[in-house]
Amino acid sequence: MKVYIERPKTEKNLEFEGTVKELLVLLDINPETVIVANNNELITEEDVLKNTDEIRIMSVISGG
Amino acid sequence: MNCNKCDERAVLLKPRLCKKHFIAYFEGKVFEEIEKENISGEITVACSGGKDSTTILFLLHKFGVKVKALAVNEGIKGYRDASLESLKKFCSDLGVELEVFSFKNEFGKTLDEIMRVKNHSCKYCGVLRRNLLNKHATNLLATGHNLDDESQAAFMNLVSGRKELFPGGKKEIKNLVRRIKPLKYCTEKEVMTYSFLKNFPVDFNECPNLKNSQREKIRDLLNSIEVEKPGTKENILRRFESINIKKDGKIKFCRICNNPTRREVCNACNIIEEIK
Repeated sequence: MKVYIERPKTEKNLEFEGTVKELLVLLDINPETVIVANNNELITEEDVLKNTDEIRIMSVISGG
Repeated sequence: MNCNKCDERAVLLKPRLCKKHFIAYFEGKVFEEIEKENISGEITVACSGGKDSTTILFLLHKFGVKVKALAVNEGIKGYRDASLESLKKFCSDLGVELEVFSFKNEFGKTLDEIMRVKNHSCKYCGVLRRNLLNKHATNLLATGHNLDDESQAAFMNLVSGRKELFPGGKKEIKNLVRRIKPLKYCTEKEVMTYSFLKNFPVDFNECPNLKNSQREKIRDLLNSIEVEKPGTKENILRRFESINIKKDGKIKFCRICNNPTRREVCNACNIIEEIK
């Protein structure tokens, strides 16, 4: 699975199958602070991910 | 997982709604706040090019309010230029007038130049930015403060013990442009979701001066509580808004600029003198 994190800009290749919530736990990201898209479609923490998915994790926090 | 209102896939869990129903819910919530304000005439919208101010500019315009966008270029290298470019394009596409004022032109120095001598950039930046918005806004100023911003501010005031800074109602004060915050009950996550679904060209960069600020620590704390106990941020804001504290002291007017202050000289004039 390819994971793009917007802030700080990071790209990861992971072997992962599970829910978005489990992925965020693995990456130590609080779900309150991000929205997640799979192939540019918004998904929720309950959605199940496949190893072939391309996931984008975007911070919701204002720039300051 | 499906939407609470139809069989479409949910895009958010709190509340559990699909794209169509989330957009309707979000716009309805903001519209309700705007309606409470009895707006007449043009509104100036404080814009940064970020998701919050872009959203409120778009929605006020959508709801038929006459708007003008006002942006402040503090002069933070590698940060503000990109967001102002996005904002210029957005305003031009929307057909809304945009005015940009800079620290350099108004105060003689960029924030980067001020930072070379002073460390507390958030304090200087915030005071000077508010001063420019008050100076150049006409009639009424709308800002994009969301529930996260407002609950953090309330919590910071509690931590500092400055009771005169508790939310103080809607009293009109001479020489102070009235402000409205129509997104104040929308979480940052809701605003970001709306902004993403609407495909707004927002800038994701973070201010380089924000690191290790007290606000950042309080933000992380509130987010960690919110995830365990949803509704915490709203509870904090609503509780603070219901506190009716008698303010200490009378409002005075700065002897240099005549803006309202609790001292002889306002914060902005003190800073302008300091950075000369």
